[in-house]
Formats: sequence, structure tokens, C-alpha cells
Amino acid sequence: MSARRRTLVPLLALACFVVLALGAPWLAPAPPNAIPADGLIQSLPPTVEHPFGTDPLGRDVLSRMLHGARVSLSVAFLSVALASLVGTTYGAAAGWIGGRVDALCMRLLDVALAVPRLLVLLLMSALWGTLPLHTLVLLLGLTGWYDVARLVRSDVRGLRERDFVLAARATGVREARILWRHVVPHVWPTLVVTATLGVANTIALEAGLSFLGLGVQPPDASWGTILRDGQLPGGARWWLTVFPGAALVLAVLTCNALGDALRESFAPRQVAA
Amino acid sequence: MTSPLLSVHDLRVSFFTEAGPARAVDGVSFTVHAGETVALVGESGCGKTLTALSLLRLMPTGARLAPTSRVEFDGADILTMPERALRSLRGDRIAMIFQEPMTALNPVLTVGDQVAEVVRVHTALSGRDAWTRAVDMLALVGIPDAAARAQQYPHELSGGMRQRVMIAMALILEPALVIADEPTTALDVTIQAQILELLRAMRERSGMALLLITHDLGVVAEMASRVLVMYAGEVVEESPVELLFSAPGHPYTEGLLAAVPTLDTSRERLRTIPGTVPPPTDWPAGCRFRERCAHAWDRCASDAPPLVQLGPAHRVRCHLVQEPERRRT
Amino acid sequence: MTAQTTSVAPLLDVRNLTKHFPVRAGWFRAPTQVIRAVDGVSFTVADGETLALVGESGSGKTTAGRAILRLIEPTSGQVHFGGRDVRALNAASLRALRREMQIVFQDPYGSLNPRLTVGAAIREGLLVHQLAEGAAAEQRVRALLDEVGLRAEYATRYPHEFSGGQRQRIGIARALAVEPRFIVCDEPVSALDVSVQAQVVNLLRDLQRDRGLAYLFIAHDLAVVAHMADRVAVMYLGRIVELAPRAALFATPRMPYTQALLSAVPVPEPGRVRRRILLAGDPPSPANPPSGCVFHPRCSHPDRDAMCANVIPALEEKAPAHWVACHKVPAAAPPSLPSTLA
Repeated sequence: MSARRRTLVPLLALACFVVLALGAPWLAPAPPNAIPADGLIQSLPPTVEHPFGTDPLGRDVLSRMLHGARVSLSVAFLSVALASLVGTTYGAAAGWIGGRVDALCMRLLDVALAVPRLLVLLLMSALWGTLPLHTLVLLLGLTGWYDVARLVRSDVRGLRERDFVLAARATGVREARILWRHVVPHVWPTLVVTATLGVANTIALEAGLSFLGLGVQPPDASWGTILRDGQLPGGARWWLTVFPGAALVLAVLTCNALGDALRESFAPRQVAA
Repeated sequence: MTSPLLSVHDLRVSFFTEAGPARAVDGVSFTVHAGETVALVGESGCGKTLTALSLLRLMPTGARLAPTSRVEFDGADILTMPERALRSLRGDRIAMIFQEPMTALNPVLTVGDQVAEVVRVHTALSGRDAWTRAVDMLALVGIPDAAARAQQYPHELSGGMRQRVMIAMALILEPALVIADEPTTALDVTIQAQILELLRAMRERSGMALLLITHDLGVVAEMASRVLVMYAGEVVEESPVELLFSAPGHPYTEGLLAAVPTLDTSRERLRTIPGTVPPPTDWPAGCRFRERCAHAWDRCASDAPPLVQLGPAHRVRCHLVQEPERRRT
Repeated sequence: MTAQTTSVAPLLDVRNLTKHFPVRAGWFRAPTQVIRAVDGVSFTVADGETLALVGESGSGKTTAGRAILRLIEPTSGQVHFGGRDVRALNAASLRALRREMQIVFQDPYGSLNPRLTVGAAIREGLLVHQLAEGAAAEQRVRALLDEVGLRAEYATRYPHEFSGGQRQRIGIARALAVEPRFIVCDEPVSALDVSVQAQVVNLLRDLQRDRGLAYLFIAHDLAVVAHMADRVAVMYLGRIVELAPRAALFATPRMPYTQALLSAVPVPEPGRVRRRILLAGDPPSPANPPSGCVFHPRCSHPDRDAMCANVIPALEEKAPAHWVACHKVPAAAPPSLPSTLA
């Protein structure tokens, strides 16, 4: 497969997810929390009327999944955007200033990295009781920027020593403009790739937290909460596991594939000698 | 006349690139006799390094050798011999010295180990004897306190010392032919002087033949007896060294000699060759130098000039040889 | 030339310039060692003059060039340019001064931002110093490209489309854009092939003639220096060991290191027998320079003695305009302070 197709296929797949999520209010056969009019509060296997079955409260799983995609994807996108912003600022500052500031920043980062992310998240949600969605985004974002910071910092440190940066400085260009015009554009590839992989990671993480009952709270739907509703020994309500599980795996795979393809397409071109 | 040690016939190496096929080495033929030093001179992109690597079938991946090419060493065709036979030849009868010893040496092995390894691969000597021989060789190439230095890793040595290690590795089995690819280019001028002196001394001592790939005409003048000038994948001139400098036959050689700055402070302006070497995907038709040549006329665009014998051991690839009246002064 | 520089204040006056790099190690990167890259260097450059700074790797020549421009902050010493104290300038005044002092780099591949077009790279200086905008700036870019021997339509292309020699011309055009009086040429032709190198050397000479530029020409190739320089300063391990007009330096080098350096250059004349002074070993590390004369452990001067090993020789005028830092080189003229340094 050509490099362009390797990027295009996962990009289109991701676009499908986004369109489905955005279109949920129109695409979904029923509102996500609607209890059936006939009052049949029972988890039923897939039928023509409910292609993905219903959950223990009799709600349409397909509708909940489409609305859940909105929650899952927006939590992932927003928290990764926050993480990228914080990580880029922190990493760029440390790399650009250098010296002791850099050393101190990196040591602080080492400390932060030594604490497992899941542990922090579990602890915070336990302290909080029930997490509102924006707090969940904030938590995921503020614990997800370490890798971005390290990568951006090492890019910036390399760029800081490049002759074209010195040349700009020797021309009399202001530091802020040098950073914006001569350094930041070169950090983009790193940022886009880590962000894409970060989205995959965060989708899975949010699902995990929600499954444990610590992430998205009922009655809000997310893929993780739907999975939670399907917890029964022996896979008795398989439709509550298989459909959201497949969506989850597909979304994560798509983002990982996109990240890898982007990384390759950004790699320096091989030039014939 | 004795048969040559190395005989290269119609060597052609090509690549497929995004910009189309690149005939990086395009019909190169030459010989090297035992004990002789031949210099292969040219600017970057002319194909000299690829020529050198092809002689030992060490071309980079993607390079294609033409089936008609032949490289005979001591009567055997290197390009068709089995890998096993070639391996036993490499390092033993033919050795190679690279430009950048830092990348050519293995960073995780001591330099003594690396020199001894050559001995162990090609001889039946025990590890201890190979080590002793390696230390002796390191001393011979001028590494002070060789026994201690042999225990060090490449990064602990200076560039000049690393190049001495490379030379020790290449020469320890007294090969008949040494191919040196820009052996002093990465070094400072005073260190270069040391290394050239060492190569001369080793040549005297072992009687090896040396194929020296370089862009530095000063190095050529000091080291070589015969010179091949390459341009755009072809040999454009082959000449004994004195003749090359006193009476260059090809306009490119002439231009190159005039462009070299010397320590002579009276010469103010350097003569230049206009333009640059074209990329290997885009060699001009006819004479490949014509776009940069002051003498070119219509024949140069239509006919590719052959390598014409001009005198004993002097060959030139230029139509001026047949039509000297076309020369502009 | 020397007569002129003695009467007029030099354009650039560098005194006792020092740059020590701390080697940091450990968790909080505490300095453990100091590399004396430049260790007390003094020289002047007159208007329109080329001073070559010659030395092997590790001699500190590149660091000196960058410290003068304050691309690297000097550790100590004075740098005066056009009468202004460069080291005392604040950030804004320094940026303004950079209109007059420019630099051309060695690596034609690393010195151009791969994401900016050639035109944008050249235009940056014009915009920053408000020299031209819009159509006027376009016009200037085209004129500059033409001046360095490139086609005006190259302005819209990216650096990767050019050869090393062409990129070096682009780098020169970028430096010229702000109309400087002085350019640090940091090994501008070392990465180029012989035929292209000659083109760029000639271009630099032509520009100097047409624009009255002064150059600090940093190089390791003595042959190129023989074609470029008015005066030559030889550096070894962070110090200037000899400084003389070009003809004098190449004809009668006095410092033993300079003699060895010159004799080591391979000359493209086969069969010519030359007396070669082979230096033993490698230059010492600038982290741990020898005491006394930094060259003494490798020096082959017959009179080398304890003084060489213990006393740092001053750079003294041993012959008119010929400065040598060596205890054993006799003064041919009575030593005096040079008026350019007084």
C-alpha cells in the first residue's frame, strides 16, 4: 500500500466515527435514555426493531452507542487537545530555555512519570465521588501530557542548535518570532503523531474507567458504560459486550493506524545519492 | 607486461529513483597492477565511491550491477564468485579503508578485538596469538602504548587514532590490494599528513597496491602514480600523475586543476568551472561535460565521445583529441 | 593597509575574548569541568578588510566567530563594533546591530529552514529591520538573488531543490539582505566541491569589492585563505598563536605550529620535494590545556625549554605587523604595542 493510502484509509475510518458521533441525534432510532413506551424494561437480544438489542433498562443499544460515541470521542479529543497544549508549552519552554530550567523541568517530569496514571485517575475519581464530564476531560488531559512534553522538548533542543535558527537570530529576529516561525513548524509532525496515538490511548482509558464505574456516570452513555451494563457471567447479554467492544477496538485501531501512517509520511524522504 | 592485479571492465551500477533510473557508474574500465597506487578522482556525485564499493560487491541496497560488468582480481571474477569465496577474499587479499572511522568501527567492541577479529576470521591463529598480532599491528601504525590502547573503545580515541586503527585492520593480513575511500577527508590537515605518511610507509613495507579514492588533488599528487578522473559516472581521463598535472587532456581535468586553491598567495582570482555536476538521473546526452565546457560545439551534443588513447597510458574522453583546432583559447 | 588601520579606529576590535563552556553532569547538571574553547583572543578587523581565522578542529575559531556576534554569550572580554560596545547592548539594541553584522554558515544544508522558500528566507531580514515591504521587498529579493548569481524566479522554491553551492549562494544573499558592513564567514566553502568552492570564493571576493564588506573568514583550509585574506590569525587550542599579513604568514611563518600547519598541506605538484614537519600525536583537549605555551608538548623547536612549559607566551609583534606568541622566536623589530590594540 502506498504511503498516501496508508494514511487515507484510517483517516476516512476516523471521519466515519466522527460523522456517526456528530449525527447521533438524527441517526439514532431513539433518544439514548428513552425507556420504551410499552414499558418493557428488559434486556433483549438484537431484533429488527433494536438491531443491537436493548440494555437492562430496555434502552436501544444502537442509539446509546451512537450517543456514547459522542461522549467517548469528545472526551478523548478534548483531553488530548489539552494534553498537547500543556505538553507543548512545557516541553518547548524547557527545551528552548535550556540549562537549569530544562534540567529542573525534566526532573519534575521524571517524578510525574513515576506515578502510574491509572492510579492517579482512580484516586481522583474516588475523592471526587461522581465525576462530571468536564472534570474527567481535565483529569485525563492533565495526566496525559508527559510524553508530548518530552518529545517536543527533545525536538526543540535539537532545533535550537540548528544553523537556520542561529541565522534567524543573527538577522535580528525576535526570539518569539524565531520560535513561532523557525521552530514550531518543525514540531508539528511530532505533535500530530503523538496526539493521534494519544486519542487511541485515551479512548481506551476512558472506556476502562467508565467500565469500572469511575468515568462517565449513568445515565450518560459511553462505550465503557454500555459494556458495564452488559456485565453478566457466561456472556448471557453478549450484545452488550460485542457491539460496544467492537466499536472500541475499531476506534483504537483506527487511531493507532493513523498515527503510524502519519509518522511514516513525516519521516525524512529518502534521497537517492 | 604482467597481467594486472585488478582489472575492471565496463562496470555499470544503476539505481531506480523517484526521478527515474540513475546510471551512477556507467561503463568504467581500468586496471591496477601489483604495488601500484592509482587514484580515482572526482567531485561528489561522480560515482567514485560507488565504483570502489562495487569492486567488493558492497553496493548499497537497490543498486543493480549490469550483467556485462566484470571485476577480475588475480584472474577470478569478483562479481560472479560465490559469496563464500568473496568473503575469504575481503579483508585478506583485498582490504578497504573508509572515510569515517567512527561509523566504520563497531562502537561496542574494543579496537584490539576488531583488529584481532580480522586475523581470526582468515587464519587459524588462536585468540591469544591474534590479539598479540593485533597489538603489534597497532604499534606498527603508530599508536603509542598499543597494548593499552587495544583495550579501548573507538569513542575513546581521536579521529586520527581511529583512522590508524582502520589502517591496522586493513593491513594486518598484508593484502595485495587496499581500497581507501577518502581516508583523510574527515581529518585535520596535520593529522592528514600523519596518515598519508603512514600509508606511504606501509606501502613501502608490504608492497601493496593502493586504489585511492579522493577529491583532493593535493593528496593525488603526493600519493599516486596513475590517476583516473571521473565525471558523471564515467572515466574522462586516465593519465600518469605528472602528465595529468602538467598537460591535462580533458577540459574538466583542466578546470579542476585551475580551480584548486594553492598556498601561492600571488594568484588572486580562482578559475572556475561554471555550473554544477548534474544529478545521475539527468546526465546530458552526448558529452556529459559539454554544458560546463568552454570548448563545446555541436558534435559534443550529438556524439558521446569515446575514451581515446592519447599517448602511452594516457586516455581522454573528449572530441578535442580528434579535433584539436576546436580548442578555444 | 596596516598604516591605515593604525590611524583609523578599526571596525571590529576584539580584546581578550574568552568563552568557557562548563561541562555539566548529574541530575541537576552541576558544572564539573570547563572547556576553554576560546581563551583570551584579541584582534581587529578594519573596514573592507578580510581577517582569516585559521585553525584545526577544536582550535576555537568557530566559537570565537559566534561569540563576537553574541550568538554565543562570551565569558569575558570586550567586543567593539563601529565604536559600540557589543557586550553592553541590550536585546533590542543587539537586534538592531545585527543589521550590520552578519554570518554565513558552513553547512549549506542545515543553515536554511527547509520549510521556508528561498524568497521568504531572504525577505526575513528586510522585514525585521523594516528595510522594505511588499513589492519593494520582492524587488530587493530578486536583485539579491541576481547579485549572488542565481535566477530571480528561484525565490519561490524550497531549499531542498538546490545543490550545495546554490544553497551557499542563498545563504550569502540572506546575509547581504540587511546590507551589513561585516560578515563572519564560518567555513563557507569547506562543504563544497572544488569547482563550486572556487565559484563561491570568487563571489565573496566580488561582493567585498562591490560593497566594501569586511570579513572574518573562518577556515581550516589554508589554500583558500591564501586567496581570501588580507591578514591571517592562526588559532591553536583557543589562543591566537600567530597573526600576520597574508604574504608574510605564508612566506615566513614564525611560530613552529604555523610552520607545521603550512608544511602539512598537500600541494598539487607531483614530484615536488618538500620539507614536511610532521607533528606527533593529537592536539590536547581544550578541557585540560597544557601549561605554558599550549603548543609546547608537540613543538619541535630546538630551543624548547622549561620556560615554554611554564610561562604563557604573549602575542608579540616580532616583526612589523607580524605577531607571534612564542618565547623562542626572536624579535626582528623592537617590540611595541600595536596602536590598533593600544
